[in-house]
Amino acid sequence: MDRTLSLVQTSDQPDSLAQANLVALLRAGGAAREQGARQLYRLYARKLKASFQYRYRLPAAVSEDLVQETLMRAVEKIDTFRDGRFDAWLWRIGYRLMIDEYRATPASVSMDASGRDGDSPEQRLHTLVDTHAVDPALHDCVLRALEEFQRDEPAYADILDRIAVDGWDTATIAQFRDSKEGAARQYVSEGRQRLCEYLQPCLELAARLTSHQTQGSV
Amino acid sequence: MTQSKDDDWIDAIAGRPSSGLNASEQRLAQAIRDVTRAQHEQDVVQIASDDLAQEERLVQHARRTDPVRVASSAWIKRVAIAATLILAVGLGWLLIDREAQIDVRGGGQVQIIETSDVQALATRIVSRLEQAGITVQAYPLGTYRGINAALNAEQRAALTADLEKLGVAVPANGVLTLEIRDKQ
Repeated sequence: MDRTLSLVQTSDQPDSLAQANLVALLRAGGAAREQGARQLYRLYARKLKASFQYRYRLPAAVSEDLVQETLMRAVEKIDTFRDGRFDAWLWRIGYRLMIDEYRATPASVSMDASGRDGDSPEQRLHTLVDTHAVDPALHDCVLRALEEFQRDEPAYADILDRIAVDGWDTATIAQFRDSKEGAARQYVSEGRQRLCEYLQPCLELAARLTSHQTQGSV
Repeated sequence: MTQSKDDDWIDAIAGRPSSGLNASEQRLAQAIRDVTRAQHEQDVVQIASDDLAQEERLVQHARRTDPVRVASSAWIKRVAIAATLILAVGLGWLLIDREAQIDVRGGGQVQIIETSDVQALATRIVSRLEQAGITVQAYPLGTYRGINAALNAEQRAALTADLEKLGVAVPANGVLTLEIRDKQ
């Protein structure tokens, strides 16, 4: 199988082999490095932009600049990548750039800069429910809660994305945050508690649904 | 280390098997996972397709910062510097040599003549040259005497023998630059 092709095809969640291949390409130099740069862009540019634009609610132009800067920095510094997950390393570069160089923190950005098309939760739900038809009421509840949470806690929300979409674990979060695993676990724990405040109605709904299901099956 | 509730929660959100959550928590974690992933899909779709110009800029950047290319260009640079140095040294050597040749041909070389009586010898040389109708420039140089004169071919032929007797060699171009010093 063509290794390059497989890198392109695993677009949503590059596995560890694809990430290792990408690092090897970027380090190889010459034509391989250029190929690696293309792969890097295709695998991560849109995901990074989604993170900056929709989680951190930065304006589209700033998000684009940040993506470009992040990827260039990654290419340049590829030899400093040691171990762990490449995407956590990449996200750390992007996050540091956002904080240190662009001085763009979520608090500094207008709430109007979300960049979404103004879909209401109900409108967005239709799209989501089409894809995920299980427990529509619970999904509706979670969607509303998450949108609030994302607005108020973009950094935690971004981590939640990385866990759900990219399968990050505590060790990866620690790598991203450049901290010990214990500190990362504490960070996640705090984020989870914050999320639970938003999810309170959904917790009750999930309990009710589970209870009904159990009674129904008995 | 035992698996904490937070680790179980992370595993459930990440779609990994997790035994530490009850059924209700599992259900909620699954819903969070589903919604988050669906939102992400929608976000990525909403972003305009990849920008080819940006991709090309990244490739250019990769080329510019390629350590292999940088190393080879550093090697080329080193070779270029070495070649320039060799050329400069060679050219300098040639120029120095050429200058020396010009001096000899041009009579620019000063003839130093040592004598026990500087004034007497200077006077004899000047008077012999003037007798032949040659304009002479004679001047004191501290304790030395300096004499400059230019001889044409005919004068050279007529005076060479007499001047040699006084210790003066007549150069081929006829330009005479003498410095007469006291013999210590």
